[in-house]
Amino acid sequence: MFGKLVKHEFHATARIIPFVYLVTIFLALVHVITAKLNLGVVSKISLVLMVLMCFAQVAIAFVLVIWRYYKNLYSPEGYLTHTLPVHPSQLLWSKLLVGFVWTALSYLVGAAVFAGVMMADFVKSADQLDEILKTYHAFLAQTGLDKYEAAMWAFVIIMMLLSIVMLLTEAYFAITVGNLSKLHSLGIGGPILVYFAEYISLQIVGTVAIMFVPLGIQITSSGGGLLGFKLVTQNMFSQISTNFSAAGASGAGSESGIIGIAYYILIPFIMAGLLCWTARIITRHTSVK
Amino acid sequence: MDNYFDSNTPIYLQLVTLFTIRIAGGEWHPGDRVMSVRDLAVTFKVNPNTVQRALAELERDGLVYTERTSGRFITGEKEKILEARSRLADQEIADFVKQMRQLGYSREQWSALVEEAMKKENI
Amino acid sequence: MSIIEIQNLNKKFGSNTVINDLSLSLDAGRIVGLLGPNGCGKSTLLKIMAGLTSNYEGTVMLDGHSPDLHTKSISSYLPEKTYLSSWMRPVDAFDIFADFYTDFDRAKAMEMLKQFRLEEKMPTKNMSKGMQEKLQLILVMARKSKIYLLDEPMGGVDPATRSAILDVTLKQYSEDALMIFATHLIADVEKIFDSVIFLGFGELKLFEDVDVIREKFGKSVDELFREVFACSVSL
Repeated sequence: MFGKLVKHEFHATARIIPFVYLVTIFLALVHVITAKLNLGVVSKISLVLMVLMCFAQVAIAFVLVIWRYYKNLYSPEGYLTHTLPVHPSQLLWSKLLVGFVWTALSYLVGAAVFAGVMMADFVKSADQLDEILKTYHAFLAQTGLDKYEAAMWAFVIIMMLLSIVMLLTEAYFAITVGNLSKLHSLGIGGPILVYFAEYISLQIVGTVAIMFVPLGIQITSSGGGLLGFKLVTQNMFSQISTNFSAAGASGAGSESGIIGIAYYILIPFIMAGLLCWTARIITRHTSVK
Repeated sequence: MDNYFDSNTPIYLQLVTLFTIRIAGGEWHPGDRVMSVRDLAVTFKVNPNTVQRALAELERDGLVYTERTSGRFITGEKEKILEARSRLADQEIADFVKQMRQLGYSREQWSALVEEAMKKENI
Repeated sequence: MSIIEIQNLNKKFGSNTVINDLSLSLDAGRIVGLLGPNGCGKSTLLKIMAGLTSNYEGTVMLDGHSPDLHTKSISSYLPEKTYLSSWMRPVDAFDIFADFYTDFDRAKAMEMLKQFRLEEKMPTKNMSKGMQEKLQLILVMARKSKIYLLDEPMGGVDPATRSAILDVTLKQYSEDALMIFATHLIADVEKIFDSVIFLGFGELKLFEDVDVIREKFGKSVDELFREVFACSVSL
């Protein structure tokens, strides 16, 4: 049943989103071709538009996905969706999966098109490519980040994917809670209100976690731009206050700061919690208008 | 077709009358298989269980019989059919007389009217 | 053996009691009319049975289950509203139903589509309200379910279509199935009911066989309904 839900979810959303990609790709082609034909103005304009589209398509995909979630579950379409013989929580998981795929794909397509255009514009030979890569590696070596290259990229990618899921989770939660029968009288205000409350709560939790939970990465800089990294059980706040009071006392040499990482570790748990809560509400408090 | 039914008699009884009329008048031939309950329900736009009940009444009256393996049939017994026909005719006459009385006609008056009507058109 | 068993059902929306201590027992092999003034709980009762409204007090059992996955697989619900996406065409809707409901008969659905003269590739947004209602009726009737929950299936359609809908309903009848038909167009329809439920302001006012009503009261259901509910309205 889950597979069927996913299939129909794709079918319903594939009617629009891929066409957005086509626009971006089209603009990229226009740019590259007009550049070759030396139509400078058109080429520049289409580049600007293309870059805008690369960002816009992520936003568009996201908006379409959460609009679909709302429409399919809480508009009159809900009469069909909620009477399907499936476990209600599967409605959430299937929409999350498909929503994630489209949003992530939008990032990917945007990045790929951008990289492609950059290559077409600036990289005229394989040697140039080598140069670029050499510069990149040199920078890493200089700052001492080269030891952590793999971890760094893994972190960046995981964080990006997690942030997509987190955004979707926050939206889905707000829409589902905002459509509980007690909030029906607020209409569209319900989900918006819930989203604000959710956003503020998460900001507070996040700030407290980053500042005060004793788990952070201490970054020390010794001379020459080299950075050292250490996992410490100190909180960010204490370091900042120490730095303030010690300002001017320590001369040149090592400066250090702590980035609190507790929140980043908390995110998956918070996300899982919100999703399970949403699934529970969908299952137990169905109330289609 | 929808206006067959009046509103204060049980529907199954009205169906009994309607079916009997068709049998007595020969529209449903003796020995013919009776239409299925579902088809009768759709034709008369009534509930299938009501049709079933009406057919059960007809069986009790002997106008219809069930053969275990092959289904329901109109009786072949001519006497039963004639009997039903005269019952219906008596009822129609009684109703007619009641109507005439309600209109204020005496027996002589309405029988004269009937004779006149019979002379006038091909009724 | 009753296929729907409701005991002491209470449903409030806020401070408004929509269903008040309702108990009902319904058997398969019957067509039951659910009658009552608008806004008196008919739709809510059907939604509860269809699994679209939780948070009620009391017990509601369909085929031995509270509304859940099982009851959704054996019951067919026709709401008053259009629930199809505007881009959906009949074939798309059939795809969904064929995928999710094992009792969906696609061939029958296609036949009914022709019967109602609808085009299989026309999106809902291009259809009139009457056409959308016919399509949704087809989706319900092409399933061989144990329970049919029909909420005003004849609202907003012309008399010819009403007649066709009654025909479809009668043809759909089965000894193994229960059909609940909520309507306020009683005079047209009462002959197809075995029994009727009068629901007045969330309360059960009457549950009786149509022919028993005629014998006992000497009135049609339509006439009795007007009497019963005229008093309540004039309050």
